Amino acid sequence: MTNNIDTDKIREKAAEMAQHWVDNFNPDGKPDMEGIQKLLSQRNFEDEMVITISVKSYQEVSDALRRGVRLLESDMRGASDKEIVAYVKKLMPEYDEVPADLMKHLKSFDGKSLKDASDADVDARIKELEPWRCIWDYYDMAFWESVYSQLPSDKKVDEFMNQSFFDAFKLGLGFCINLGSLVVGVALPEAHRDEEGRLHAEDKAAVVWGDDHQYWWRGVQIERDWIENKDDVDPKLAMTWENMEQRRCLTEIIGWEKVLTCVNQKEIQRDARGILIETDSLNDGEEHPRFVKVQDASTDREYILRVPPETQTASEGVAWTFDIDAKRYNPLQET
Amino acid sequence: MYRQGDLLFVEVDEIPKDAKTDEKGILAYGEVTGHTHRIRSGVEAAMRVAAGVAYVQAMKEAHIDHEEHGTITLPPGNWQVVRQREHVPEGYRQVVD
Repeated sequence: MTNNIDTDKIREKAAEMAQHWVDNFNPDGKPDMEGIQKLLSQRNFEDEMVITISVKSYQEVSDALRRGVRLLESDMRGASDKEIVAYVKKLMPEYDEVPADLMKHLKSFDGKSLKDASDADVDARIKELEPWRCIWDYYDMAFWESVYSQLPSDKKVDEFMNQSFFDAFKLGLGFCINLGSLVVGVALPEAHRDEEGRLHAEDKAAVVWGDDHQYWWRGVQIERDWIENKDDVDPKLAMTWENMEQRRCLTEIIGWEKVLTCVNQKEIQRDARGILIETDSLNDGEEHPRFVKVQDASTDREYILRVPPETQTASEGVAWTFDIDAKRYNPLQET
Repeated sequence: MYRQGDLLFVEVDEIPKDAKTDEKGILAYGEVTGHTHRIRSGVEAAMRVAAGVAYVQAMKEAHIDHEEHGTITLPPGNWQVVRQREHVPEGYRQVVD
């Protein structure tokens, strides 16, 4: 049999498609939940009946699966339309109306009913369905889109390629758990970035995924209080915080001037390597701590490094930080 | 000597004989940024470690890459990697980023 599929081309096309989604999804940082739910509900592949539930975070997945599987496997034969509508709306408050194909499905389902089953029994059924094997993210979708794009056009191919599923990724869908008749769409975290694409937000969490709130400053994860209660943060922390990158972020958040004024800094000496400063005591046993303020050769960012209190020049201080004599410290290349 | 961010590369006569090779070649890792100082793969250089100190054994020119700092090129030789430190009243501590 001749293999008509060019696997290299698929791989190349899939990478291109995935990049396209990465570049285009979630443009303003916030997933469009209403739009995602609408698009997933329009899914029209092979005329299958499908229940869709869109959730904002991974934390809501278990509940969504439980509601979806219970609904899908509920025996409502003999129930009136009114009873069915009431049942569906109780399980799925996000549904404005009960789709006709779902109504038909519930009226004819004759398997083992989960309608009145305990949560534990529903969970056991979910386990049988192995949802963790049915996760599709935009890379998977890109791959399948690339495969199908290689096939001669016919109804099935066209249906697959026209799925509104694809568009949902552009609105911030992160991944789907696709169980065929039940699709749980999970949105990407709400994420805010700076002009260089790094996670960053000056006055709120940069990443929000359900109850998870993360605070980032130009690609560096920082403490919540530094953003949410910045006026109450002790500026001395910007001189003593152990992690150098986070310390640098804190000085940028509070502002160098406020930090240096708070510790009553005095310039002792400056040279090509930096500025040697002395401050009031930081209440850690040293009366007059000394620091070198330096600029990174590649990024131009300013850092402050504590040096021994007897240090006399910035050059001597910088050399000390590498455990080397100031006369010997002379890098041929510095980046 | 050469410097890339918080690492200084100082030439030494030899690398301790008990030094072990680290195939990954990651000389330092930024805890909060995830950035790494690493030996570029494919070059004739090895990362060796003895007593917690990293060395670069460069048979030919070795390129050290980092996400934010420019690449540095070490000439052939043995290079000790010195991590930057900072004074604390109790003595000193290694700079972490």
